Amino acid sequence: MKRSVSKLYTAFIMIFLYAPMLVMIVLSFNGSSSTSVMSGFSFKWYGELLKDTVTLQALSNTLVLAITSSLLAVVIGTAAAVGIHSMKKKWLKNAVLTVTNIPMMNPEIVTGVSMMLLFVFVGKLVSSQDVLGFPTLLIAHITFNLPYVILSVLPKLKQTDKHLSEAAQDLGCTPVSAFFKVVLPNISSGIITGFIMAFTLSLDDFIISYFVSGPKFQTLPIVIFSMTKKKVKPDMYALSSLIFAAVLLLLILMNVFQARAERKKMQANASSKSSSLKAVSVFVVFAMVVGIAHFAIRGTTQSRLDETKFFGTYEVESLQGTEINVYNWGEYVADGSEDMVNVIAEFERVSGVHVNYTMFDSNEDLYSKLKSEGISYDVIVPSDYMIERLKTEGLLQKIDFGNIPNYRFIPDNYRNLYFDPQNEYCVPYTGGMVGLIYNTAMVDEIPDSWSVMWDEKYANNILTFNNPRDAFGVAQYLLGYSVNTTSAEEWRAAAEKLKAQKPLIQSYVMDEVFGKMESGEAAIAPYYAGDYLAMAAENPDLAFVYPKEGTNIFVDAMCIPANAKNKAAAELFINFMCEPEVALANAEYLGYLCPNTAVLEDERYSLKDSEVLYPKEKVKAEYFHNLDRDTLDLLSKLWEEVKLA
Amino acid sequence: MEKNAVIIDLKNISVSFDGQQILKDLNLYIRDGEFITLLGPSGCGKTTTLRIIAGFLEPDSGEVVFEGKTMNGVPAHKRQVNTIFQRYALFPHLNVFENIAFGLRQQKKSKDEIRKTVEEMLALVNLKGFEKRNIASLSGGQQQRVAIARALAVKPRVLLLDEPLGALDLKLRKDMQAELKNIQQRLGITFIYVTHDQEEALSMSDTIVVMDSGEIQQIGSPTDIYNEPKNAFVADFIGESNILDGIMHADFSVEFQGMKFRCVDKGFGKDEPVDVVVRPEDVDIVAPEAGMLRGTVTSVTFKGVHYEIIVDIDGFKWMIQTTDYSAVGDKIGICIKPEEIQVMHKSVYSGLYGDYSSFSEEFDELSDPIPTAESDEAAEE
Repeated sequence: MKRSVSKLYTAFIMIFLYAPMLVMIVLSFNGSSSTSVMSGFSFKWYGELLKDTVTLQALSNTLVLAITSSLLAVVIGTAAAVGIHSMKKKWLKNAVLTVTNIPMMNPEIVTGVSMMLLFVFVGKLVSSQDVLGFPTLLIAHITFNLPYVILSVLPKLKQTDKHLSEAAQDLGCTPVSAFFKVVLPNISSGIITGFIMAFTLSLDDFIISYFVSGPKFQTLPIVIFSMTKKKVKPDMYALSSLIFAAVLLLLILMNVFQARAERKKMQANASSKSSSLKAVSVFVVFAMVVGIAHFAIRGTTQSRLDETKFFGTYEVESLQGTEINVYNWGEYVADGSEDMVNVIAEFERVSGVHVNYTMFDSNEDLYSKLKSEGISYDVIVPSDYMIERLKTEGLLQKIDFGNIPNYRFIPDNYRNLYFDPQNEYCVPYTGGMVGLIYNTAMVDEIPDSWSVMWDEKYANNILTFNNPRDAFGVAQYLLGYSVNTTSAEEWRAAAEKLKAQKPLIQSYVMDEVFGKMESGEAAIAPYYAGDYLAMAAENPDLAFVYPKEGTNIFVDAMCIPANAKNKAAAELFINFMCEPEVALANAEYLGYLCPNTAVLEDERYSLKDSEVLYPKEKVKAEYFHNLDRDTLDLLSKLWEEVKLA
Repeated sequence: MEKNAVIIDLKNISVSFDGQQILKDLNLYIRDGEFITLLGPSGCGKTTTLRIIAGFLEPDSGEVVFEGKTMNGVPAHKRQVNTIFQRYALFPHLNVFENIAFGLRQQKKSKDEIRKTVEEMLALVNLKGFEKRNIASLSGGQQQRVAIARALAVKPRVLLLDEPLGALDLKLRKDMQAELKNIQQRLGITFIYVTHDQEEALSMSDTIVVMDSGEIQQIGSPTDIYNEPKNAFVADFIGESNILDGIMHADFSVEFQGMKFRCVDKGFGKDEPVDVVVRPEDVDIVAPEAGMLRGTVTSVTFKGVHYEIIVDIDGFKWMIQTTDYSAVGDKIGICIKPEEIQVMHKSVYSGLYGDYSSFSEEFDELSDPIPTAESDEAAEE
């Protein structure tokens, strides 16, 4: 009886630990991009991964950073541990130990923000604007790795006979060589544990890295986190599966070495040999991964754009060899996957300008990075209301439209928009509208009113936005209010409406909406038209409607920040993005609205006649405006009430 | 080098840590080929003295002279002395062979020479065939032997031994004592041995240096130290002693417990107050009427070879070791021969060590602690 209980318990543990990995590995071999629709075994996503230069570069960056930072942390940390260990005064020892442990106790976000402030401050002193990059990441990672190294080395030092070093000196070693000959071998297992811990922590750190990284050096966690607005690309499953396989391989290798060492136990040096073998095998495996990543980046052959079809010229001698920092939404540019062109690589090829391409996942995210002043960007792609805000705060500069002849392809309805009435600050990049996505197998009517989201028939089958502005928007359309109202009364009324809706809601979602709608787990969800197209490709039962009460429209546009360093190249880049061949590639990749007249008339554009993206009848739609401080505070307070109701 | 030349000379050595004086103006010379023991309770400064000779510690003042050359400022690795540490400090990551070869490799000796020397050393300490063994797989005694072999492999002029047998059990300790003495005599090198165990010191040493509170109390051969302790501390620390207040009336005449005794000591001032030491085994039990002193037996303990009897004589509790049985409550008399009475000048220790009224085995154990890591540290710092 007892044995079967313990077996059951073990089985449960195994399931909880390994089920997620298993699901991920299965999905990585799924031909479809959906998490819910299986379309047969395929290596497609592994192929895609090899073409995904951004991710591979990030992977290689992450490994380089993890190895360098943990090696340095091990050297510094071991030295520190030896120093602390030899302290005679107990109070001093404890004080130093407490101080070194603070980075471990400190919330990561505090460490991250404070480090960023320090780096920016020091950067200003030495008048280097782009201080954030690999060096700052390295310093930050060493800092948070140090306590772990010290904590794993100190106990080993305590276990070591304190007379060992004296004994070696007694036999003719200098104090330094005594340390390397007899102390170091006896604390090596602690050092290796410290190294592995530091390496792991560095590998998956997001929060601190997020604050102290710059556009030239992005790590994998940062890149993956920037993909949360849209669906996480399935090649990430492939990547994660490969990492899991690498770790598994590593563990197996280690165990093999350990077993061998055990057999040779009676022979000397076995323990130190096995631990150095462990370290070597860690190193070899990850060096292999870095190598493969680099090789893959070099080795990819991309389809190219036809330069003869370009309207502009991009060979500007004075700009060749310069670089620009571009900050765009995650998965917002054709990146060479699924046989499309890699737009960024193409721009680099034709212009000779190097692009440091990084991604954000919300306007607020972008705003805080800009305000931190640690990094200067040359091109950013904020949404409407954020452009308004950045403009009023003086964070944008006027674009020289003389350098952007391709602006002529921007349709009239994308000009003179409220956030840039004189067409001075931005060039529209893409846009979209929110509508209702519904499953025709579960919803009989055509839900052309937001009121369907309050219909008890669909209780527990309704999804809604997990962000306040969009979630309130739904209630405001239905109540006939403006989404930009400054009336506290109206905001409160909308909140009441949302509270009444809450019992019917299955869950508040962002990119989880893809899986839930594709699998038929939910019947109704409000989301962007472009994303509906991706879902419909996986589940033909899905349909889309713009509710009659009106909806939200957004435009994301390219802007140049006030502190941009390479304005001329930024303008060259913006002009390139408006190039019809480029815009077409992006439009196909993104599936959102394409503000480019040449593309809209192009026969090759597969979404040209899409009723969903380009409805024949005019849809009543309102832009979000930048809300004043009081309203924003009220909104976040009311949103909390709704979520807690 | 002639046999009895001075090899190490410590001149006016003083050391203090954190304001606490560990060694007070210590003067000591050591002859070549001597087996000298620094004996004293923990904290007396004996380990500190050893560390100064080894070069792990610089004295605050004073001079360390090795064969006529001052050693102050010369680091440990450049001194021709080697140490055997209390817990051996063997290198756990190296096997027996490599441990012993460690010093030789430092000296850049040839491979053949190293192998030859290591084999010799292993033979010397009776560990033939242990070359490949892991340190952790050895017993305490075997580790001790490896430590000796390792230190002797580099052919030091002087071997320093810091309580080397402290971690071994009694039987093994006795065997190792004999073996160490044997090795010392065979190699003819100087041993400076630190211990708190008076029996160990008495049985092994040529010369014993009794230390307490950072000062040398007495230097002498084991028999001198035992038979003619200079003060109450030495008398008490070495063996068992009955220490009584006395008055030296004249040469060869001392009074204690209200009785005048003949003795063999002279040269004291007239009627000088003195400490009188009588060893428990030197007291003869006789019939009460025949005794010089009379008392009542208060306790009897059987010790195997002898009985240990506590006798109350006018309020002073004597310890007597005898093969004659007496029962508790018996009235007995005692006799002491003149040559068994040792008269000492009064010192700072007078009165600290008295009779055996509060004596118990456990108490004795407590007052003579086996060094632990902490007390060892205290002795060093």
